[in-house]
Amino acid sequence: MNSVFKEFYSLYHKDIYSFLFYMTKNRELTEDLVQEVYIRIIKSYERFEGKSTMKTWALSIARNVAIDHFRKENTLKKRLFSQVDWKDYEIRDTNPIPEDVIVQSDRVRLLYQCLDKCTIDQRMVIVYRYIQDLSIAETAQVLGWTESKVKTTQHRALKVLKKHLEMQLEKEGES
Amino acid sequence: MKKKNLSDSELIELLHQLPSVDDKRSMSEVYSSVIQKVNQENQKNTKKFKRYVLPAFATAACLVLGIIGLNYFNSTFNGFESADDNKNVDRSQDQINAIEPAADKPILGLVESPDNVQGNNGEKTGDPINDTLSLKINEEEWKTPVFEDSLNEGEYAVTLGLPDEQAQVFVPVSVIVKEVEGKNWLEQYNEIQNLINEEELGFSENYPLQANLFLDNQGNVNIDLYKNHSYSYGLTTETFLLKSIEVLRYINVKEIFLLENSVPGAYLSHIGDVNHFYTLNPEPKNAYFIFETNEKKYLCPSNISVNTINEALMKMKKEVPVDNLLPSIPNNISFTINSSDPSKLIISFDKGTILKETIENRIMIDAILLTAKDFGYQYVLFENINLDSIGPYDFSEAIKVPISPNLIGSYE
Repeated sequence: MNSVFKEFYSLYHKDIYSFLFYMTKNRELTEDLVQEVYIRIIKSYERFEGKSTMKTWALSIARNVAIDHFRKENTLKKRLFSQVDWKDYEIRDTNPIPEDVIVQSDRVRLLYQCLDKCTIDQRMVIVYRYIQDLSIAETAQVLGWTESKVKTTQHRALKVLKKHLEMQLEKEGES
Repeated sequence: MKKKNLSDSELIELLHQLPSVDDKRSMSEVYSSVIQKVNQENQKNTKKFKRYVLPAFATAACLVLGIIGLNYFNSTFNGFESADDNKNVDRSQDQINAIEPAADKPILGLVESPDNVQGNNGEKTGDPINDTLSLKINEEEWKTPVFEDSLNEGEYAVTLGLPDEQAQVFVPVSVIVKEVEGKNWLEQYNEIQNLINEEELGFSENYPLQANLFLDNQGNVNIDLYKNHSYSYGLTTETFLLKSIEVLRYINVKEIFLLENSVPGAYLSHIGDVNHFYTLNPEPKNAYFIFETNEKKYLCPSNISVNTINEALMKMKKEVPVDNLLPSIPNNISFTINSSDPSKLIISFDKGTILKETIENRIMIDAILLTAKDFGYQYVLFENINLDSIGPYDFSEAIKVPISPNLIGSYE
């Protein structure tokens, strides 16, 4: 087994998988994208000089793979050339809720569904900040953004989630 | 029903409760799937190259048959047997063998080919999607050239070369790029190389090049071919490389430094040695024709050789079937050319010529301007036109030639 693969798998597989799953909400697709992440890691590991942490480096690759996927998917779906503005592009969930989420409370399940209302950028920030517990600085490093951009996107994402979760809770009759 | 108001802290608490979804596969299962995918990519790349190698092989086979036939004809006609006949056949067979890729030559190198990932110092190194910039492809039915006034402040144009599906012609396509502080044009060019999807546009894959492109301290373009690059697999793939270099002339690149695995110069098995200093011809004397793919029209320099602008414009009235190129000038349009001024070409349409404001006529003007540029002219004056203008072209004065052909979109 390739030693680079083994090292990254042992340390960060859970983070990579979880990130890609929350971005796609589809296990089969996540598995495909995970393969792509490892191929890119193995190919480019020689150039890794340790200036950032291995974790943020690996997650930035996962993030690139995810965005690449959405770009291709969007182009294919629309049968026209990509003009996606990632700030405005929403991911629609048509997949079943995974067992790990089903066992959670109703509120958490609704929140999981509300993630679809976020744009790709917003969802990435939510996953890194609240599911993977990265700091603002780490999230900025993974995304290659400024910290203030992370904060702004996070603020907007929370606003979107709050609005839609409140609507869902109202619909479900929770008071 | 009472509206439920959530506080931020409640929402964040709920977000923390979202589970970290686990992969149900074992490490060895994941590893096997990675290896399988690498193998699939290798096979896919091999097939792609075979597609281009096959025509080259067929050409070589024809040459061999020709040589055999010629030898047979000579020996029969001269009435004696040549002792070299067998040697000739053997030599020709060697030529065929040389065109076929070596079975053990890797196409997808795991180490030598850098990937589209974020560098560990926070810099982008060929990131497939930039955080703030994206490649937006326009959907115009025909692709207009890029002119100086197409560019706003802080913008410039870059050009890439896309091979058609049969890899017979190379269509230069341009993208308007928004300058970004801290990045030079070649860094942005590298980003676009990773973003462009040739197959979706109806072309064959060419980018990213199997090379590291960078500017040295003097601002010279360096193209350092990866150790296991595949350009030497056939004349077609070698042409891919050279044409990809040649389109840089539209960006005003006059020469490049070519390296192979960081060693100056390169050896291509069919073309031979290519110098470290590779000069780009700013006036390659091309005639531009219409090329159509995915129901979009482009203007494409042809492979046909022309010596004068007059000859080029005459050829542009007829299609080039072998390259699937269509005429860019209607056959019924007649004009005379005054090429005495080295910077300004004057085209006088024949008396009685009636032009209408149609796409065909707009394309004709585009094609003439691009052709004039490739012959070194800076301006073209159109005379005896019944219209004052067609599209943006004002015929009352000489029109400046474009920067580059086929604007396909923007990187902003």
